[in-house]
Amino acid sequence: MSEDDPRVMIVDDVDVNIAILTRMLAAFGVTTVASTSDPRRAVALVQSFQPDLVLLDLHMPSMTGLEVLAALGTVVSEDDYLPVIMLTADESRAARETALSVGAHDFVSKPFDRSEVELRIRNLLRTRALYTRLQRHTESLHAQVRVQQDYERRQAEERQQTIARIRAVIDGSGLLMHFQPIFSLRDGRLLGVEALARFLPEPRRTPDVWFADATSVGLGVELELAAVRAALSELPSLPAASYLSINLSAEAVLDPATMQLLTSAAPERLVVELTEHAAVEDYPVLVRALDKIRGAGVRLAVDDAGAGFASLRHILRLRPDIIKFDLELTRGIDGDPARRALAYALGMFAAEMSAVVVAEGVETAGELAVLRDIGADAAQGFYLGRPHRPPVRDVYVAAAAPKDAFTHGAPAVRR
Amino acid sequence: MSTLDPLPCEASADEVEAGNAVIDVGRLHELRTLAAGDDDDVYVMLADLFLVELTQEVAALRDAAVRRDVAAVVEGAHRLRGAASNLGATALTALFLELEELGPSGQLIGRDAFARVDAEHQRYREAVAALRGGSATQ
Repeated sequence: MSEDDPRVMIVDDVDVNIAILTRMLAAFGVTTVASTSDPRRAVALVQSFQPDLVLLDLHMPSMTGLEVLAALGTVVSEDDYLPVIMLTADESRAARETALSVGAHDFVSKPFDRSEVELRIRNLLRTRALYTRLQRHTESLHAQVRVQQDYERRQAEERQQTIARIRAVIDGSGLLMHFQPIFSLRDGRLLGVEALARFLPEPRRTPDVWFADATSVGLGVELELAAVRAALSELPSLPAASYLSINLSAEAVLDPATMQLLTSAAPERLVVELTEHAAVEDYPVLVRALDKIRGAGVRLAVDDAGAGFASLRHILRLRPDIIKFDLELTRGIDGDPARRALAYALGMFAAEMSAVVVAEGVETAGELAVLRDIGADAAQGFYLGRPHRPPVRDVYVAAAAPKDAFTHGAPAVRR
Repeated sequence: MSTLDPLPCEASADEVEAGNAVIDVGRLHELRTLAAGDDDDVYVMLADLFLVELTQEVAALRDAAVRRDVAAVVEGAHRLRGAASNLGATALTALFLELEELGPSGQLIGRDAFARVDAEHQRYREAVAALRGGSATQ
């Protein structure tokens, strides 16, 4: 309804009563009025006119006001508040009570008093307006709840789909390990390979998305261990002299299954690469878990050095065997004295700690040359060899690395 | 003439008190306040409408009495009373109330009762005509 332009309907079998009421309504600004002197038409008029208020004569010959009220009850929704004012000529108390009991809201007696008509109509229109507003508010709240529920249901569905997708990979399909070679910068020898998970299911997602999705549904560690398992199963097809570097989060390191898995293979050939970007809250616990693993002969590498403070703290607290320069540090190091200086300092620090430096993300001969000059021990990167399926052999290395990639024309690789 | 001037049809306080005034002056003034811009006299316009219904309804009432249809007599008298009261037709209102109350007791509405209805009907018609004449002289 429009609160400024309320719609009032009059049902009275006497035309002059309608005429008087219409004028009284107009006198206080209600001009959208429909009327009928035939009570049998009242229901149809309510449906077509959609009034905000009905003035209904109680006493009519062909159909009483009470009968009209009952009929209106069948067409007006229970959620709707349609006020009905009965027009009476001093009916008995009993008749009024009956009218109230079947849905009348108020009465106006003949002769109609102009002020009384106005006040009673205004009161009920105000009530209807409030009711309508409340109802709209309720509907809006319901709509919000529905939106929220839809969202939550979709979230739950997506979560279930994610779980199913990741579970399928963990259970053995769609995970394929690639291996990126890591070369000594002293003699070009293949030192090791880093195992990197690749996921086959469509639509294709990058490994970091897979691991993030898995973590979001509580399967992060399981997926990491599935990748470790897959990598270990390929140890026999990797060059026997090289180590196998596998990525693990701190949470995975803490999982008892990890220790079991790593010691079941050839621990002395394994390097755990801690890929933890978040600050570790409880180092002693992590150190204890790592000590056990290292005690079995597994070496420890800390990833992403030079890319943030977390990696530096890891280095200080965990004393790794290998420090890996982040590609952020390696990238363009041949044209940036600051990067070069930081890499050099880190290299000195590593040497003091008896750690080996491996530079990641080497993409150009210039970067490689600078890294070699500042004394980095080893390097990996697209320039030296992309992650690849086995066999990872010397032949493969020779194809990937340019002939003069290593120092002074010395043979790049052993054949 | 101003609406505050006495009119030929207007009842004295005594007449209103006695219930035999033709038109209640207070009601007359109240209804006249409902005038829209182009109305000559709202009351006369409404009264003309009422007079048309009055003629039809009284004829129907007479038929009902002849048929000895007490319910129809009560119904008709009740309806007429409502309309008459709305127009401040004091004497007619009182008369229709009388008929309405006679009905349920089973008493027939006799010729004399209809003679009184006809007489009051006529007085009201004349009073309205006088108002119309008064308006016309303005």
